[in-house]
Amino acid sequence: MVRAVWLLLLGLGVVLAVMTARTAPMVAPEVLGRTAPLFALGERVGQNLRAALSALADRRDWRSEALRLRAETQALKQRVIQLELENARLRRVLKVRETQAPAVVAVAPVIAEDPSGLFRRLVLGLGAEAGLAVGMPVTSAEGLVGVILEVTPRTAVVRTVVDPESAVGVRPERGPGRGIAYGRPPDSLRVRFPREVRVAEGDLLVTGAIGGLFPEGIPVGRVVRVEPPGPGALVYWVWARPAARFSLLEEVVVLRRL
Amino acid sequence: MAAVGLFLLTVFLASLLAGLLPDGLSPPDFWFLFVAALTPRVRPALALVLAFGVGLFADLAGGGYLGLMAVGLLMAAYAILGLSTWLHPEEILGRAAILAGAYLAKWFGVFLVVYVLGLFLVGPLDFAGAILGEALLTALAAPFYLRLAEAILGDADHAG
Repeated sequence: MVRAVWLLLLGLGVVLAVMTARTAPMVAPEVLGRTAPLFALGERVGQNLRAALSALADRRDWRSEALRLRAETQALKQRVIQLELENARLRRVLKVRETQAPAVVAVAPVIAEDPSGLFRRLVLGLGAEAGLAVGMPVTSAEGLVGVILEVTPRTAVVRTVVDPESAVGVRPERGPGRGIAYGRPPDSLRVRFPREVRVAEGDLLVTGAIGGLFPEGIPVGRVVRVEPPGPGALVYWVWARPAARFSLLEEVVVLRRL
Repeated sequence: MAAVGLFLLTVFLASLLAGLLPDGLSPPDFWFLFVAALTPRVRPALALVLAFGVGLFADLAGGGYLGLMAVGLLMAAYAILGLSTWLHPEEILGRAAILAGAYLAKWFGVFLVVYVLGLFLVGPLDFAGAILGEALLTALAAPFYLRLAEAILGDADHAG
């Protein structure tokens, strides 16, 4: 029975297909027009869902794009900061070159300070490989820093002007005479002047020893106190605050040895 | 009445998936799933007639040649009836095997009509991609659809 029905329907299907093969293309649009409303709801819902999913995917793209742009902006900001720092550093070098000495050997980063408290020494991040050598003056835009005491291939030790072993020939910026500034840690200079030299509080002292280690005219410190000479004394002492602020130094300029 | 409800739901699901899926991807064959759900629940002869009728409706609604899906779904229903007598439709694997066999039978029926009509402008293998895509999506949709059909129509009579 079942097989008979199957065979009957199979035959009917094939005959129907053969008989309507030519008319089917004309019948279909007629039927489609009548059955379309049945399918319209589901298809519209499906298309709207697809559009919504597509919009969601687009939005996710926007989000990733925004994140990418944000990261790029951050990178550019960092680059700007780096360039500003580089610019400031070069300005300082230029200032040193213009006001102190043209023979700049290198701009070296300060990577450490002497932690003992007995000495005031700095460790630079450049050494003999960069051309640094013992005896080279070290300065900054603010004023004299000191002199290189030791070098390794990649580091150098600077004895600052406030180091107790430091002695720098100085002169008053606006007057004649010479003296010697000795370092007095942590942040002072004690300067010996001949009695005839006139120095007052606030005067700027600059490098000035003949045949000394440092080029002429680099600021060393500013006088903060003058000790009056004793009766019959040939010399007197003044106290000065160094021009360079060692605790704030991030980099220094190394000059060619005289 | 429940069968009519399932039919309308099938119409909705078929059109929903057709609108939802991107172009070039064949939606699952919900007509086949409808026949697969209905066949074990009615008398065999009626199942064949219903499968033929649903196929005819699909042909008309699809704007294709009359008889393509009609014969295809008729073959599918017949395969379900036949395979159910010597496989175990109450088990998942048995049901899956019956569905797979019926699906192949459907395409056999379709290609039979295509052959009779001389419509092969290109070889059957050229449709392989579309058929495989439809088969995959139909297989994915089958568990959910058949569970839904069971909820609407009640348990199947596996006696065939």
